Amino acid sequence: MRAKDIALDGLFRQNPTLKLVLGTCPTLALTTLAMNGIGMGLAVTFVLTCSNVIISLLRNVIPQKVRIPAYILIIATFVTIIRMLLNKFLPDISASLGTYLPLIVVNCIILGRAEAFASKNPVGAACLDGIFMGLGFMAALTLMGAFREILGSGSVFGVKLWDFSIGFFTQPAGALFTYAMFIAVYSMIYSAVVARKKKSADTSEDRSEKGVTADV
Amino acid sequence: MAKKESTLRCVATLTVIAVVCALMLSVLNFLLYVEAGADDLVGVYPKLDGYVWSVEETAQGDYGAGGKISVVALGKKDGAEDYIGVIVNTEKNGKLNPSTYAMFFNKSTDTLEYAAFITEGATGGFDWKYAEAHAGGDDVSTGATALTALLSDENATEGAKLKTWLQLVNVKITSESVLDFTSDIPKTGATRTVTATYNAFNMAARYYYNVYVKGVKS
Repeated sequence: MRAKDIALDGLFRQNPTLKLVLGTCPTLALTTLAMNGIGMGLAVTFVLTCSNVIISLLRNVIPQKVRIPAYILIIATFVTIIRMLLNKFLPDISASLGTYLPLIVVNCIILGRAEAFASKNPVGAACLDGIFMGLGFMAALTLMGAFREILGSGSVFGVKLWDFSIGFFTQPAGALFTYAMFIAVYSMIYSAVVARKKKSADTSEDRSEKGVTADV
Repeated sequence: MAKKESTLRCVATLTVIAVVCALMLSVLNFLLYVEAGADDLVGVYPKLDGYVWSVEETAQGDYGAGGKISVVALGKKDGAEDYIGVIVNTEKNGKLNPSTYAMFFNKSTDTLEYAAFITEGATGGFDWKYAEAHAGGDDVSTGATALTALLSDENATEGAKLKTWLQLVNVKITSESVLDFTSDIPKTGATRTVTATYNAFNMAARYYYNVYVKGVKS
């Protein structure tokens, strides 16, 4: 698998939040602020990348029967490490992420990528997959966070824009509404991109067929 | 035979991964350890909701063995009484980890109003919540008596003085004696937790008495 494909899959084609609809719990709960999206995204990227690398390295050593408990052990270790790092160096972000930080252990994205990708691919590819899946998650959370923060609090990244605000967007119902809207917009863009690619592929196929005929 | 080997391999693999992870975390825990701060006092005593805590300089001195006073903070709120919050880190007392206690003194009445674990070093067996609930309910006198005894025993010279100002209002501390009449509660390890509690209370009480009652900053 090419690096470009892995990057595009993580960021767009297989975006964990918008396409695979994984990790919805922190997505709904933490996107009241754009900064939370960056914090959570970075934490997940770290855990995902590190656990992917280790799981890929050990993929021929870990017996099939105990692969899930082994993955959980590895993931939990990296979650504990990121908690320690955030507590030490970024205590404010650690406090704002609260209980969702340790809950990364059971985040479907991480276990899902460990099972679906890292355990079947070499270290380099697994590392790239971790980085770009994490960045895709971070991008989705940050965009949703910025959207909800602008409409719900009239600010973005803590910078006040105006006094106008719609309280609905800071509420759980607002989170569900925003998430649904983002998935809808993503699906529209995704369909448009796929349709354009298909069209250009068809066109080039036609051209090559015509070219072949002319040569004949 | 093959099945047995396979099982052994599974167990061995998981054990090796667990040991490596535990070793790595132990090293990192040592490197990235964060000392307790005034923020750790927030939310511990429900009555002090909305208080703002500012760290006070910790006076050096001998306030008893078995632990260390890590944070002393002044809690303020508009129109309300001032409080002193003290965080004490105990020694391990034979447990896997040390305990951390938060204690709250009402500055206007010089009473120790509330105490609670921030982290309990016990490996299990001491049902703190249960004991705490009993000490704070109908059995409040049992908890208060136990604490008074602890303080007076440990502080033979200052015990009498301590008892005069320490009214033990709303005491939430208990001791093993509280568990004596709840024989269905397992007591494994309780003695060590009580020792840690004993040390922590003595240190906090001695500190408060010396610095805020006597006003001596040694």
